[in-house]
Amino acid sequence: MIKIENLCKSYESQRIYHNFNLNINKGKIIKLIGPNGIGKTTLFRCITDIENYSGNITCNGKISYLFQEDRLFPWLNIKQNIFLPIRLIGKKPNKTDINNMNYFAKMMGISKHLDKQINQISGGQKQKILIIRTFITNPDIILLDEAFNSLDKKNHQLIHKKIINFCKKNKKTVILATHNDNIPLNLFDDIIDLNTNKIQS
Amino acid sequence: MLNKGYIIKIIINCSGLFFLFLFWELFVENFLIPKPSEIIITFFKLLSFEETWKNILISGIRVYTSITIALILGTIIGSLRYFKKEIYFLINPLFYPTQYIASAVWTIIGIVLFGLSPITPYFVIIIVILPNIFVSVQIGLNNINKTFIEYGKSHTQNKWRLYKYIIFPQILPHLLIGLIRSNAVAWKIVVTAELFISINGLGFMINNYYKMLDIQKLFATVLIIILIGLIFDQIFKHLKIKIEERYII
Repeated sequence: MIKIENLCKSYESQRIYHNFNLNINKGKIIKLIGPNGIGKTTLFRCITDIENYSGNITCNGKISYLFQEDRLFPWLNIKQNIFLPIRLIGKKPNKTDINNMNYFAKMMGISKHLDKQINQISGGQKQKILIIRTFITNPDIILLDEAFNSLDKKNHQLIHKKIINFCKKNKKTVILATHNDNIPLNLFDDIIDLNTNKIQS
Repeated sequence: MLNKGYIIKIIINCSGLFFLFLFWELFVENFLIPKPSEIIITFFKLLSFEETWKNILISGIRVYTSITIALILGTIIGSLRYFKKEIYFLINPLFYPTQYIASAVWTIIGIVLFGLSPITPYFVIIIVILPNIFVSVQIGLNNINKTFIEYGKSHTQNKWRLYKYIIFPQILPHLLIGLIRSNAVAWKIVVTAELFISINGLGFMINNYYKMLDIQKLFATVLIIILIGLIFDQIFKHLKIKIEERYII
């Protein structure tokens, strides 16, 4: 569950959020829309505590954030990149994590690329690695910020469908910020328009 | 494997030196300055003595033990800026001025502090190299990719884990540049320190041959120092290239 109360956030003179409130229940799949600069990324950055803000944000569960830009670490190989979040939370990858990685790699169709270096794979494959890395810690809340932009149209829809169905099945809360209208709306429980501050169910 | 282009590059790089030695061999006639051919013969003769290898080993241990200590200390002190800014601001002014003190002066200070003891060469090398490493860490910290830190912070606020997995790997290439610079400096310092105080090591050999006016052996010892320095320089450069390859996407 995510509960946002009276969120206020400004960048110098530009006010992004003023007393913004939002409640997202567990297991909901949310599409976050709005024009560029409206604060979709800022909202994710506040939820993950990357940005300072005033107000109150409560999240019940482990959060994983898939950034808009590629953040694969060039000095690590693909497997090390995938397991980095586990190391960052102070654990070592175990058998379950390896099984998880193999499961998602199979889902994304990149099992045979797992032993490569980052500079040996394409942009689309990097995007898929980023998706696997997002899910490797078995998060309860997943924030996807324009997450699948590097994928071609066919892969884009397919991966969306697979990921969202997986999250629905496993009762994971997902907020997907996107400009893309090609994703079938029936995949989402709610659509939040930050421009109008309206929630469509 | 050595390719054709690489061999040509080496030949071009060495040609200047070759002509200098050729000129020296053919035209320099001075009873104090031995000819390159004589130096090379003496060089191989020196290498056949067990004592020479002992002295190389002693100087090498001094250099690389000191570099290791300086690397560890310099990285810890330099990284304080990330962990505890207050302590860093306290230490920072101590490091930059020390860069301007010559190694010979540090040797004298070392003798004053530790006397003619085996610790003195270690002290001198560490104290001279430490600012090099410290500055390398600072350059590394100045060039940290903030988006990587943001990614780390989205998973943990633990400073040590962020340092271990995200900050330090980004400092490492800069640290290697510091290591390459330190290698050259350390060999200069160890000889200076051994000239003054030691009863062994390559500096002692130079001092000894100077006193005996055995200029051929003196030059041959200098050649040994140059070769060892170059060998380690190439090893570190190779290491740096290997590591840097991993930083290119």
